[in-house]
Amino acid sequence: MNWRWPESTSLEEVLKVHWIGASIPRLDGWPKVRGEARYPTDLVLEEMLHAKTVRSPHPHAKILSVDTSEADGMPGVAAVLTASDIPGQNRYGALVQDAPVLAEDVVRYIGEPVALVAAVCEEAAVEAAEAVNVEYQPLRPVTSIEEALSPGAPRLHSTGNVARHTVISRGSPHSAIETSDVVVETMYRTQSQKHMFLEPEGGVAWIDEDGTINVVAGGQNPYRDKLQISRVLGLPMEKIRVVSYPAGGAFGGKDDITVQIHLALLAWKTGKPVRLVWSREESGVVGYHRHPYRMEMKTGATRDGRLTANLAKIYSDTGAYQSFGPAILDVSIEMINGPYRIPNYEIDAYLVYTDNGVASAFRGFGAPQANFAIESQLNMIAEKLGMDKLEIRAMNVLGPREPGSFGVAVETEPSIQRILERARGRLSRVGTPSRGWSRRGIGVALAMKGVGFGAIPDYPAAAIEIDPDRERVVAYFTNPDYGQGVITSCAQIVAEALQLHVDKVEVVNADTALSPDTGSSSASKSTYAAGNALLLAARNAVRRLALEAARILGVPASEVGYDAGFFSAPGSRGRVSIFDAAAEMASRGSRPRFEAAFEIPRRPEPVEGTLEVPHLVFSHALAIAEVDVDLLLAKAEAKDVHLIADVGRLINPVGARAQMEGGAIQGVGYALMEEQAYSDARTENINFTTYIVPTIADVPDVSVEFVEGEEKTGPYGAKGAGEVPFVPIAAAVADAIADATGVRPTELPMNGERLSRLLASAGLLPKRLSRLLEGA
Amino acid sequence: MRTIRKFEFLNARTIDEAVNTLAAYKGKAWPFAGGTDILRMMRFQPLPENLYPEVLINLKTISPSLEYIKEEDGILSIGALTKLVDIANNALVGERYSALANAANKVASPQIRNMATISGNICQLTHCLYFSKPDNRFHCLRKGGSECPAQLGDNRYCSIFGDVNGCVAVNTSDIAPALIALNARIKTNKRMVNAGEFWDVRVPGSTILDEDEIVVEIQVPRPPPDAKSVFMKFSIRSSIDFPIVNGAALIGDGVARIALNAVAPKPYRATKAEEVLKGKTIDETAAEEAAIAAVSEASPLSFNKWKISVAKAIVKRMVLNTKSR
Ligand SMILES: Cc1cc2nc3c(=O)[nH]c(=O)nc-3n(C[C@H](O)[C@H](O)[C@H](O)COP(=O)(O)OP(=O)(O)OC[C@H]3O[C@@H](n4cnc5c(N)ncnc54)[C@H](O)[C@@H]3O)c2cc1C
Repeated sequence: MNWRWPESTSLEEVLKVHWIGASIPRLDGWPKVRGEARYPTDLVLEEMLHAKTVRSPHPHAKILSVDTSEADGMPGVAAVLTASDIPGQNRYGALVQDAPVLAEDVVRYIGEPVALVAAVCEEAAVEAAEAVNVEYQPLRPVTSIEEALSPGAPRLHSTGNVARHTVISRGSPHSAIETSDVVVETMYRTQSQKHMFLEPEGGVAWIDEDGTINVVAGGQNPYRDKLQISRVLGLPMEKIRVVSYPAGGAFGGKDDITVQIHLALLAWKTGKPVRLVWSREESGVVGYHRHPYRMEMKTGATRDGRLTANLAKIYSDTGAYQSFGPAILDVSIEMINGPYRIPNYEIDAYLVYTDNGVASAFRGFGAPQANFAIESQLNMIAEKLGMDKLEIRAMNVLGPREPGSFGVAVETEPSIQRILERARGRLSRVGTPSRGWSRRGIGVALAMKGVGFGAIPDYPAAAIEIDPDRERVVAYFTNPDYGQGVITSCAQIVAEALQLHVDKVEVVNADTALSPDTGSSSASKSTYAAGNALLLAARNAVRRLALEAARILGVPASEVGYDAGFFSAPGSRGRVSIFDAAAEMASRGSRPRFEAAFEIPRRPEPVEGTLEVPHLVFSHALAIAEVDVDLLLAKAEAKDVHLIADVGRLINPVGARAQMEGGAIQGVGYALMEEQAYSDARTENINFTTYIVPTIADVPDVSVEFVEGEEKTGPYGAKGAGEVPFVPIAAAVADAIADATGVRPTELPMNGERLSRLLASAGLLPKRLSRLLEGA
Repeated sequence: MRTIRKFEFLNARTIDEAVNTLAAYKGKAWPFAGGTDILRMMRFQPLPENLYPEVLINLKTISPSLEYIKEEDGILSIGALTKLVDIANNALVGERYSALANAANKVASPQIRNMATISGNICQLTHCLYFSKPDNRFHCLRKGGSECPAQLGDNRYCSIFGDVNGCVAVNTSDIAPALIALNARIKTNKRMVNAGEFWDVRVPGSTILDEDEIVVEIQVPRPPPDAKSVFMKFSIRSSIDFPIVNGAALIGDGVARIALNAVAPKPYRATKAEEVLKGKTIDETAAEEAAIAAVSEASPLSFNKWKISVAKAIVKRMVLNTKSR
């Protein structure tokens, strides 16, 4: 952990250091911790206008009229835009373009944008926004999955309230359940979780002299944002530039469009620079959130613990529009059988529309919900059979290269086996014994998370430029670093590939004007995708510059070799540095810049009824949680979380560890306290005072062990670390609570109200208290 | 972006100037201390139009300063404008008045404790989920409306000891129970009030103070040498979170004073529990009996029975904690 910069910077010395596996500090760390970094919401441009969104106060209503005349005439107002001002298609959405950029005739959630205002100052914008008169006819809202599916419910879209329904089965699941020795049947519910990034959604936009619209806003996929802007503005792609670096956190909540299209529209309409930043409360109401789920599970096993069948009904509340809902449902489908050998299964999955805002991507992308269900099922089966919880997993886990539920292996090396091996013995080691009304329990869950988009085609591209004047290598890629550290890991990959000191490498991140399209930072794939593309680009650079070196050395190119920044040939005297070779190339008018695209391996066709099942590359993690339950206060506190993970080869171990710790902490928030509270489709807790996320005082001791499997398709063997640590936490914490109290929570979050009911119903409290709490 | 309501800001130079200005504005001027509550209120605007101040009177500019902590003749005097951080870190308070130091240390977050004052804390508005909603979304009973939305709606964190004039919101001050347990007095420009009688539920205020009355000092008598004071707080997370139930107790040397807060519209003195403990040695049984007595008059709302068990557990633990010296 105490990695130090090498004393000597001569290239030969440096080569003794390998950049892969070096815990070097973040390349963009200093300016950020010093407060010098300027985030999109910090930017102030000359003569900048301030924008404000006019939003629906109703969860579901018909728009009868929109009258902007009063606002138009107010002092300082530069533009008031409604749906009729949109030149191109008035729809956006990451997968399906189903959400209006500005609502036309119907609004489907509280806060849905209806108009945009830009004015010379924020106050004028607020006043003008209030002066836009929208007449609504309120309609009955749909506030839950159950309501959406009930007969006679209002239809939110012309196709009904079911956005997607997928059934996938194998074998004879129903009869297999009937003949199973043990069957566990449970309904699980998980909540809506907010991302609560420190920097809310926002940014600036302006138009260049040549008419290019520049949008700088925190995002996760600048090229897709650019495409969506171009569709809505009806402008060619080359007229739009999107920059998505830096961003003050994202976690999936900035993957789909937030402010980008609105910013571009206003800049284009007014010709002026514009700033649009959602307030914390706006972000709380209209920002994306994690899909709430209802899962009905029936899982069977033989007497000796072999899984026989799994029946899973999954209902996902996508809110008013689809966003990433279908792909997230896919991941849940893929995870609901876990990494286990289950010969018979039926998965019946629904994506349901409601008026509860818009759900979208969030760390884990459908895996945490499914994991909570299947891992709890497994723990209950183990309890029923009196089996060891690691043993039952070891018995059922798929072997390396063994085809799983969807015809592909979940691992190519025995990494899960190694993880289970390392966990052995740890489950019996409880930190402090229970005393009085305080009980300590220990629990376990195993998780996997696909890296990348599975069967969806994905060709990340990147570029490397060798700058001879400054003797620097510049790496260009667009998947944004919003704090996860992809800039640093990619610089290490380039340094290693070119055998140069990492000091020689600079990164230009997330700018569509400067870099080819590397795709999104999502699906745990940013290092995997950008790293692979950069490796190929580095190889192209060496191959091409060897030709220049050959010319200088006066030898045939086939004889030139590359070592530690220098080209040389046996027999010829002297050597040519990579920078001199680049200078030679530049001297003839050729830019020493090298691009390459990588094809993420995939199955040619997805499993029928899905978009992205199956994945081919998975990261794995096992969580062991120790939890204190205070029976009288009905309070569970996570005290200790131990993660054993395989995320492939570690490019930057400290960075990978930080991902594990962050994931565990966010997972504890999901398990124990975080919950977006809705009443009648209105979010009640919209800021940090009322939406409770863990503080450092609530954080358990997190320890991390890596089982470094080598991923053959990954850059230097890396897979992905961003999501998998989050995935098993809720199930492990629930298992620890079950261990401590004898009753198992099946709803998230496991907060005081839920636990008090659970404990009372189990008769765990003194009689007087139980009587008091019954039916509470 | 939500903008803050317009107001005038006056720096008071003396206590007299502050109260005279307050009097002149007839309720349309409010005292301003650390500003952590009042500015939030001016930004989110939970009140109906007629209840906002037009003028904020800054008490921090009063001279001589109302920011001090001193002990004289067995009385601890704390100036009204003393910051919570200074109370939490004061060695004297920590040693002899530990319930108060601990309470101050448990309020909100370090940033807020650096700004917030003791008088602002005890004068904070009694609030519930509905009362605090921005833009007066719920024109509830206490704001002059006709209904209490909490009685029927989400009352998980509301009163378990009934209503005051129909309001079931709770007082969330962490300092209040400590002052009651320590038998403190609150000195205003007009009078001296026992802590137990300081709070009320009004429109929209939460104290008995008149329009032209400000807190100038808090006085706490030194507890008997063999008594011990404790403070406990239960909240969802361990920092930056309002109490769901909190409490303070001063027990020993023939004294037994127990107060709870966040359980009723006003801080709640658990007199029944105090009676149980009279003349008893503190042990498990006595603590349990006191705890049962403390919640014997509870009458929960539809969703908050759990708070009764929390309150009971807190009383029991506080009592037991005063035993170990
Ligand atoms: C995020 C957050 C979390 C919080 N968590 C807690 C918590 O856990 N526990 C807790 O107890 N509190 C909590 N609070 C409330 C906090 O304690 C108060 O904000 C603070 O103590 C108020 O002090 P102040 O000096 O800033 O008061 P101000 O905002 O200046 O004033 C508050 C009120 O008191 C009145 N007032 C102030 N001084 C006087 C005076 N001398 N005489 C008469 N009236 C006066 C003002 O007119 C106003 O009505 C929290 C607040 C926030 C914002």
